[in-house]
Order: sequence, then structure tokens, then C-alpha cells
Amino acid sequence: MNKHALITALLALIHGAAGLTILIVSSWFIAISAIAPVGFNYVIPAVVIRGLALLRIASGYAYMWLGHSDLLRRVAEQRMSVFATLKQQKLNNKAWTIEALANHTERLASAWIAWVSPLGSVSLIMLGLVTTATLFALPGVAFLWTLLFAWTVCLCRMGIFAIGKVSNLSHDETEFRQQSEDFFSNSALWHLVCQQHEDYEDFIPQTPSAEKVWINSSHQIAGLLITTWVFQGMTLALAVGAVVVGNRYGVYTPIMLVVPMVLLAAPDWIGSSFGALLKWTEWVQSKKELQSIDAVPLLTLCPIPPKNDLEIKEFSIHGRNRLPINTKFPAKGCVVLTGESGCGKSSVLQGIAGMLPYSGTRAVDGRSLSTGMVSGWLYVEQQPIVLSGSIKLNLDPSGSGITESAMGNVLAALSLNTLSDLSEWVGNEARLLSGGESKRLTLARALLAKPDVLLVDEPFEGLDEATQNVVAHALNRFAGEKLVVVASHVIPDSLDSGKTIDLSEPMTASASSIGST
Amino acid sequence: MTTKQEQTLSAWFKQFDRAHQLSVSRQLAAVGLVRCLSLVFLILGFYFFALGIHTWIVHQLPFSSDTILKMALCFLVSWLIQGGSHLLVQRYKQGLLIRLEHQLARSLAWQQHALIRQQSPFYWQSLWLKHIPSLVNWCFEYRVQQLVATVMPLLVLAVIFSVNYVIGIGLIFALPVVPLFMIIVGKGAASQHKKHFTALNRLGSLFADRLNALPLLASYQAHNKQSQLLTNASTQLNERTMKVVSVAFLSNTVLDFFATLSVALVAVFIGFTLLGELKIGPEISLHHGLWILLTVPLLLSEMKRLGQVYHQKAEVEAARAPLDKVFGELPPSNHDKQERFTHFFTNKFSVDGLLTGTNVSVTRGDKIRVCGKSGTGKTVLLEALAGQRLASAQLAGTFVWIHQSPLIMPGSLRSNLTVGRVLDDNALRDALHQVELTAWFEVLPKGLDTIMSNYPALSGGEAQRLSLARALLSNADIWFLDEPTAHLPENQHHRLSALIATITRDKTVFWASHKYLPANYFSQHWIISNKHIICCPSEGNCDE
Repeated sequence: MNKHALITALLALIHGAAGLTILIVSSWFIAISAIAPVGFNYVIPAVVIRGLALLRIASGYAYMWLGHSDLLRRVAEQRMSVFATLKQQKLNNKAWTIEALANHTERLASAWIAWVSPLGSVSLIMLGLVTTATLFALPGVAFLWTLLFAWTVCLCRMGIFAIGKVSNLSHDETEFRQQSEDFFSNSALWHLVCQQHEDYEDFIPQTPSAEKVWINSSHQIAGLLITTWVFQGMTLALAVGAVVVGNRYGVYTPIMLVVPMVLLAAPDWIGSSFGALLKWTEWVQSKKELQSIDAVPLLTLCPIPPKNDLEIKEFSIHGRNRLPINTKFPAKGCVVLTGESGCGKSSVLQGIAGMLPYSGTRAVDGRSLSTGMVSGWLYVEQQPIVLSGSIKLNLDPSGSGITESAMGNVLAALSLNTLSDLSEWVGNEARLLSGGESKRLTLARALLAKPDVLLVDEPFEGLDEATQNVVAHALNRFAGEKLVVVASHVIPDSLDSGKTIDLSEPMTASASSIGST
Repeated sequence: MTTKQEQTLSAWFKQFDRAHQLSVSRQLAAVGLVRCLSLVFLILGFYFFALGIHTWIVHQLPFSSDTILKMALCFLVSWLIQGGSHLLVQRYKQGLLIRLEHQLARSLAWQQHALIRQQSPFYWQSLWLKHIPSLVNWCFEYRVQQLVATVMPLLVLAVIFSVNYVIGIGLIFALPVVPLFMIIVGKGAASQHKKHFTALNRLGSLFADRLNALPLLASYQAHNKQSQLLTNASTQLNERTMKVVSVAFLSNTVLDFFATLSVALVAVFIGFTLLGELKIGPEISLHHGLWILLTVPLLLSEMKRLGQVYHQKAEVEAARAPLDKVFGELPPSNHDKQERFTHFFTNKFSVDGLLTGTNVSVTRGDKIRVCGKSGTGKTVLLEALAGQRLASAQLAGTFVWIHQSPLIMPGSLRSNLTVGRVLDDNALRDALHQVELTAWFEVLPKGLDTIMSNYPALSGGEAQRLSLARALLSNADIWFLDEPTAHLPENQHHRLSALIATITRDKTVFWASHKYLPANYFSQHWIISNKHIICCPSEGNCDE
């Protein structure tokens, strides 16, 4: 695995070293040609130069190819390992943190190509150069040592600066995300604030500003630019210094050209290492973020199909401020939870499914259950989740081998004939389904999984009357065998609900039993 | 294809620049010029350096102090100008960011909920944090680099020609001519970027998609299957990508190839000429030879750098549509909102190609029912009348909105009612009384300072009453009611509708609703069908 990465780094080293050697040999070559000593063999240096050029080109291409292929593989691996750790877990996060997670894994995977290879090759070339120059007692070698020293100082300075900035930046960004999320979710009330002023301009102070984030990130870039610039200044000064010192020698050989040339070219071949350092700080940050993923485990219980009934006692969802509910559901048939929006229908359904923490008890046939999701009890979300993938994949996400004809039947029963091409790709960046279509697709998925208990959240919302009836019929048919609990503020007449529980009314044990008779 | 996109992108930006009076083009030219100037001084410095080396090697004499001084001076000036250009870019970038943010804030203040409701907060955050900076980076990095990469090769070639036309001609032939090179870089980077980065993006979004669905995967026990699926998808995509990218990298290598080879060949050529092995063109000295050798890399290094910032262009392409959405229309000049609403009449009313109407008239105190099937544009009409959309006319006066789902902010009850205004507690209590929330209010533990959490012990009907109280306190002339009872059960709907009818007796009201409403309350019925507004007298029937 790491072999590829090492080869990549080696190729980067060859690429850089070949480039620098061409420069040194070429300048030396034309200098020596100018004075052409007797018996000078010009063929070898000329061949060496051309050979080095070819080596540089080849290693450059191979570096790009292998590096990117390695990157792609690492990204995949990195993501799979994150995905594996999130098995049976739920992320406590918002849309942007999930996007960030995708970015973090990419950054973590790109370590070799982004900073290990560039930094490694520059430092090795530098060390190699200084050592060779010292061994051969190259005129002006002290200046190369000074260059090495200057580079190390710049690098350390930059590293310390950048590592502080990068965490500041991510902090400010999170802050802005939170601020602006609140700001945007209150957009329906902006007009009240606006009207207190005469002009658009007066509303602007109320608007959050990303200025802090931008200033921070521009500081980061400025840090990079300044370091690169200061380093460039140092190399130019060193080059001038090398010439001044060289002047004192009295005897001038072509080899004396090497040190000033290396110094003049230094910004080109060393400059990239500072950018790589910035990538390193980002990598450190991403690593930190990935270690602190905010996930909650979802416990899973063995399948427990109710034979007689499912009962909830003193049941209330944490943090919802609702009166506890007491009620009994039959093992077969359809029960409707109703009530105005905000009365907690949806959270009660999720509580029964075991996806939200609750107090009170859930009991099947008199046996009370511990907390956790019960396998075989399915909750169908109000906001349908369509996986990006084929319709077939959406209908059978676990690959349990549901036949295509079974899928076709369920789709037809929900009048989803528009989705009959099971291989069609849906979701983001593919065919976007309408709200009603997504809703019925997720219901079809649940029906095909043949759950013991089916908990459906607002299945009729956003559907026209005819489609509402189609969905009601499908639910009726399923309720003939199993328990179906529907939370809805719309109840079509065609739904055969055995019992309706109104959650907007304060509920006691006796009230619910009256409802059930 | 690439050049055409380029044109449209810069043409688009030109228009954008003009519309928002950003005058970026001038700043851009200034930065480009400064960068070129710095490189010119660097080349001059190389000239003196080569001259000194010539005296060293050929004449065995030290650098004259004059040469050293000139060389050091040229390097210093070049370095200082370079620093100046960095400073300039940073300042321009920051300035542009602030100006764009200001424009964004103006746009938001104008279109408000009519704009925001169309997309998720995440979308707007991305616009703010990613798309605006990417536009700015493209302006001051990519476009500047583009300018420099066009000017510099010409300059360098001019220098080389003046010194030795043979090498000049050789370079023109050995390197494809500059424009051709630009295309190679552009195409190479473009296809590389497209293929490589779309693959990465697609994998990223697939990954994010499954992370979003984690609870779903858990309840279907689909985690293993999906993980296997993701692995397969990435392996396949990676293999396919590498095949295409290999070709794309080739064109990038071509640039590297010419850059390296031209240095090598120039070195060999100069060496052989100096040795007397080659006798083509004018005599060449070590001074000129070395100078050319130092200058030749500049011919291509700026182009290489352009390839490195190429991704900025792709980012702007992606940002273009969202940016147009917000910055596409300039806010109309402000109307006087302090004016009291008296009447409104227009014989030709149109809303930005979405709706039209003839003889639309409203007088103070009118109660107008707006109906039409869902999706016909009832909300759009109300938004246009409130001035949040481009329309031929809008109402003058203060207004208040009541939406389908009441918005309760996480702060205190008081802040929910006042929304930043300074209001007397008695007025707040009075408003709560009018919307029949007194009983609810009296049991609150901390009265007006009670914090409304995200899950308030507030039913949908109560929450809507709270937003009515908020509306009453705004003391607005015009009320826009957009299906305020949509999510409520029948009996609640009737009670709340009756309450609204009572408290809005002396207001001008626009009420969009599907549900049954008492007809005698309304003075006008506007029916929208086929993108047309039909205004009926009060006995007009809305319930199809």
C-alpha cells in the first residue's frame, strides 16, 4: 500500500533533483565552453543535459500519474473506514458538516501528494546539495548552508503561524455557519425589521458578515505570500553576497558559477515547500476534526413481532415538553396519530421505532423492551430520503434479493408507474423526483421490506386527493397483516383506521381507551 | 469550446462588473502590469549577473563594483515591486469581498423571504462562503496570471531575439507559438480538471448522501451492502478516471517537456556555439548565453503557474448560476415605506413574466381573497405586491406577513414579539390578549422572558396566534396572509380564521387560502389561472 506512496515521493525527488542538476550542469557547461580548455570533452556534458531533461519529463509524468492514482485509492479507503466506524450510528450534524466530512477525508487522503512529497523532496534535495557541495569543497558552500538555515527558519516560522491560523479559521467558519443559519431561517421575519428603516442599507447591519472568516483566510494566504517573498529576498541577497565574496578569490573557475545559479533559482525549486506546509496544517486540522465526529450509536434489538399488541405507557420523548402518552396498538390494523403540526406526532413515531430517546415503556405482548431500534420495525420519514443510486437500489438498500416483479407490483400499487425503469438513477445529480414521488418511493421501500410494524410519518402531505386514496389503499392492504401507525394531519376517508389518537388534546390513560372503543 | 467558454465567462463578468460598478478590470490591469514590471527588473538583474560572470570566467577579472551595484539594485527593485503586487492583490481582494457582501446584503434586504425560501440555508451559506470568494480569487489570481502569462513570453522572446535571433527563431519553432501553448495548457488543465475532479466530486457527494441516510441504513440493516457498494463504485470510478486522466496529464507533460527541453537545448546550443562547433547566426558571448539561459525558464514558468490556478476557473463556472440568482437583478430604488397606504391602481400589472393582470385596484381597508390551484403563483403575487420581486408596480406602505408555518425564534417570548423593536410590555400583553393567548401566557414561568426552545410547549394554532400578535404589534397597514391555517385541523382553522377576521377589521388584507373562508368578510376575490389575475367583485366564487 505505502509502496505506491513511497514511489510517488521518490519520483517527486527525481523530478526536482533532475531539474536542479540540469540548471547546474548547463550553466557550468556554457561557462566552460566559453574558455574551452584543450581536450575538453563536450559530448558527455551535452548528453548528460539531454538525458537529465528526459529523466525530468518522464519522472514528472509518472509522478502525476501514480500520485493521483494513489490519491484516488486513498480517498476511497479513507472514506470507507469512516463509513465503517459509523455503522449503526447517527450523525448529530447539519448539512454542511457532512459536506465537511467528505472534504476532510479527501484532505487526509491527499497527504502524500499535497505535502509529504513536496516537502520531503525539497528537504532531501537541499541536504543532498549541501552535502555534495561540502564534500567537493565547492566555492561559496557557506552560502548554501546559509540558504538551508534560512529555509528552515522560514519553514518553522510559517508552520507555527499557519497551525494557529487554521484552527482559528475553522472556528470562525463554524461560528459564521451557525449565525447565518439562524439568520436565514428567520427570513420570514426580515420584513418586520426592514420596515423600521427607510432604506435597504439600514437593514444591512443586522446581516451577519463573513468578513472575519475572509480576513482570517486572507491572513493565512498573506502569511504564505510573505514567507515566500521574504525567502525570495534572502536568496537574491545571498546570490549578491556570493558574487561579492567570489570577487575576492582572484582566480575564477567555471565551477564558481554553481552557487550563485542555485541561489538565483532557489525560489523556483524551494518556493513550493511553503505552500505544502499550509497543506500540512490543513491535514492536521482535518485529522482532528475526523477524530471528533459527533455521532450517536443506534442500538438495534432483535426482531420482536407483536402477536397481540404493542403498548406504550407514560411514553414521552426527551426534550419535547409533551404530556406522556398511554395507549395500546393492536398487532394488526391501522392506527392514526393526529393533531395539529408541532404536537409531536412525528417524534412519538420515531420514539416507538427507537430512534429517539424516550421515557416510559414500550411493551410487546406485555413484555417491555429495552431502548434501541427494533429490527423489523420501520419508520418512514416525513422528509423522504432518496439515496442517489438506481431505483432498484432504493427499493432494496440491503440487497436482500427482492425480486423485480415484487418491486414492480408495489410500485404499481402506489401508482408509481413513472418509475418502472428499475435501473434508472435517481437522487442528486440525476433524475430529481417530485416530493410526492419521493414520498411514495420511500413507502414502497418500507412495504417491500415486509416490516413487523410500519410507522409512517405524514404519508399524505403534498399529495392530491386521488393519490392520497391510492396510498391509503396500499396502507389498508398492509394493515390487514401487520400493525401500521400513521401520523398525519390529513386523514383521507378511504383509510381504514381502526383507531385515531388526537395528540393535541391532553391525554390520559382513560382518554385513550375511550378513543379505542 | 474552451475559448468560447472563456469568452462567455469573462463577458459575463464584464457585465457583472459594470452592473455593480466594481471597476475590477482596471485593478486587474494594474496588478498585471506591476507583476510584469517586477519580472522585467529581474531579467535586467540577470543581465548584470551574466555580465559579471562573463568578466570572471572569460577575462579572469572581478565584477566591477558598478555591475554589482546595478545587479543588486535591479534585484531589490524587482523584489520590492513583487511585494507591492502581493499587497495590492490582497487589498483588492478584500475590497471586492466586502463590496460583494454588501451587495448581497442589499439583495437580501430587498427580496427577503421570496428569495430565501427557494433554497436551503446550506445553499445560501455555500454562496456566501464559497462562491463569492471563488469569484474574487478567479479575478485576482487566475485572470492576473492569464494576463502575465500572455505578456511575459512575448517580452522574453523580444529579449532573446534582440540578443540572438537564431535562438529566438529556434524557440518559436521548438515551442509551439504562444497562443497554441495557451490552448494546450487550457485544454489539458480543463479536461484534467473536468474528468479528475468531477470524479472526486461525485464520489464525495455519494459519500455525503449515504452519511445523510445513516439511520435509514441502520433500520434496513443495509450498512454492509452500501459500504460494499461504495467501495465498488469508487474502484470502478477510479479505474475509469485514471484511464482518461492519463491522457489529460500528457498535455500537461507537454508543457513540462518543452520547458525542460528548451532549457537543455538552449544550453547545449550556446555551449557548442561558444566552443566553435556550431556556426549559425551571430556570435554569442558567455554574457549573452548565460543571460538567455536564465531568462528562458520565465518563458514557460508563468504559463505553468496558470495551470496551477486553473481550478479557480472551474469553481467560478460552478458559482455562476447561484451568483446570478442573487446578483442578477439590482434592487430597485427604495420606495418610501413610511408613507401610509391609501390606494393602488394599475391597468396593466405584470410580475416578471410570471403573472399578468388588468385593472388591478386596491383601496385602503380592502379584504382581498387570493385563490387558485396550488402552484399557480399566489405567493408570487403577494411577494410582488410587497415589492420583494420585480413587478410593474408595488404597494406603498408598511406590511406584515403571516406564513403557513409560524416562525418561532429560539429567544425569549419578548424578543419573538418585538423582533428588535422597543415596545412597551403592556402593549405586548394587550396583543397577546387580542389573539386570545392570555390563558397560555399567564401560566408561563417567566412571563415575557420565558425562553422559547426549539420544541416549545406551543401547539400549531397557538404558534400561529403568537405570530398574529407579532403582526398586530407591527402596526402595519397591509397584511399578507399566505395560507395561515394550512397545517391546522378543521375546527382550529375556523376558530383562527374568525380571530383573524376580527383583528384585521381596519387593515388592508390579502389572504391566500385553499380552505373555506366566510365570503362576507371579503371585498374582492382575485382568482389566478393561466398566469392571469382575474379580479372579481365580492360575490365572486373562489371555491371551484
